[in-house]
Amino acid sequence: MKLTYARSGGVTGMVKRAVIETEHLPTDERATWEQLVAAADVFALPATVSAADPRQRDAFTHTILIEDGPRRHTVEVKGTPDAPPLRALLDRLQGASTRAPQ
Amino acid sequence: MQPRHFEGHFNSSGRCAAYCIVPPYLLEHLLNKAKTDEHRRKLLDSLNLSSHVRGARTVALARKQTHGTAEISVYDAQHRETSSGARLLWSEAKGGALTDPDPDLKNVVEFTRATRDFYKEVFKRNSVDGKGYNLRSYIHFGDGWDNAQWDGTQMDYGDGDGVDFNSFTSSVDVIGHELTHGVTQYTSDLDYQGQSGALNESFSDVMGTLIKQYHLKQTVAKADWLIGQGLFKNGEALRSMKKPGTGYDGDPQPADMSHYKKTNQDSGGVHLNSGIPNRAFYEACHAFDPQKNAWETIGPVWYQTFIHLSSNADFQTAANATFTRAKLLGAAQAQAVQAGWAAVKIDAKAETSAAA
Repeated sequence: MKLTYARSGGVTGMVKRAVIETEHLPTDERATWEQLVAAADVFALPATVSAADPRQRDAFTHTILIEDGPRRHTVEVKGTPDAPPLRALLDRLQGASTRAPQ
Repeated sequence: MQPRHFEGHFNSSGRCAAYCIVPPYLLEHLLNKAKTDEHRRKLLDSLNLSSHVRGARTVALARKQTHGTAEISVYDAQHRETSSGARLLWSEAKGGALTDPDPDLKNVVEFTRATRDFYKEVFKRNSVDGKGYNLRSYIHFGDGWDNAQWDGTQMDYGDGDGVDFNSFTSSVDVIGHELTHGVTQYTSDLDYQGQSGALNESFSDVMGTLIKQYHLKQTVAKADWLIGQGLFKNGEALRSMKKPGTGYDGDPQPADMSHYKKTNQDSGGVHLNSGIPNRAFYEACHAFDPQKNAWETIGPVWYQTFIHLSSNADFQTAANATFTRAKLLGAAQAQAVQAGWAAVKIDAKAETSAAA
């Protein structure tokens, strides 16, 4: 499974990215990512999850591309979602991401 | 039409009624005839210029607003990324002294006050909605959260990750930036996408930096024109209005239209391309008089123009509208505003009466 993540927006305007390829990870880490993805049910999420009030400004936008065998899905999350499993996945992705050139 | 017919369109508070959309040539005529400074000021403050203005929209928004007392209150979000369950730390309504040693609380109270005072004293605006909207702030928002935001009703400030960023309460201009998103919401409501979104961001930076300059009593030449100075642990600032692209190592902001960035991220690069109108404002202030205070020279041109822009305005529209308003104030102002936009490779043209 491969996760390609980008966080844009926020008052800083900086972009952070992460690419996670679980097959290259130690077993326990791989299991953690798989559990987070399963709990958030990423493949079942709509293409856009609008968690923010439409009047919100300087909120973060998260983009997750997930690829697993033949399956491929992109989800854009605006703001901070209420659902704890999706929040947990985003927290982990943000923790793994680094600032990227723009 | 005689001027007295126009005067009949003002209500008792001196505000222009919804149908009062006056073409610039007629406004010039009225301004020339105005006998007192107060009358001139009222005309400039109240009359809505040209086709950007949709008076009915402003009135509709005004009807929806709740009246407050512009009172400040600060809550502790307790490191959760939500305001539900937050604890009230301090409120003006309670009238208590600020005894809590939390530096974020002190910063937010001081800088929110500075923002409220600026709008009241410089632009006679009573809080973000012009009706005394109560200003609620949430500090310690999220866990090491690298952000500050206006959420549509309130402000949220993160502590920063402690590695790259200090607390997001550290800069008065960032707090002014967030509250100005509220002003935009209640006025032009610039669409948060592409060029109109970059104008929305730029207006927040312009007012944010004017709030800092007013707070520190700095002239154009003395001010640093940086946004978020002190926020970075190892960098200068988030953005430079004077030299976009030099705020920090890797700052991607373009400094003129020939470097405009097309992107799908960040709502079409709203925090990127805002560098272009940001610099136009700085250059206009500098061209007018670097030894003067920007909030007294070109600042009012920007404020009065931006609160009246249509929600889908682009850079050219903003350039033409600021130039047209500056022309009403005088040739020196007009020349400075045109020079400002020319520096970023936008040719500001006067709006014609046909567009009104």
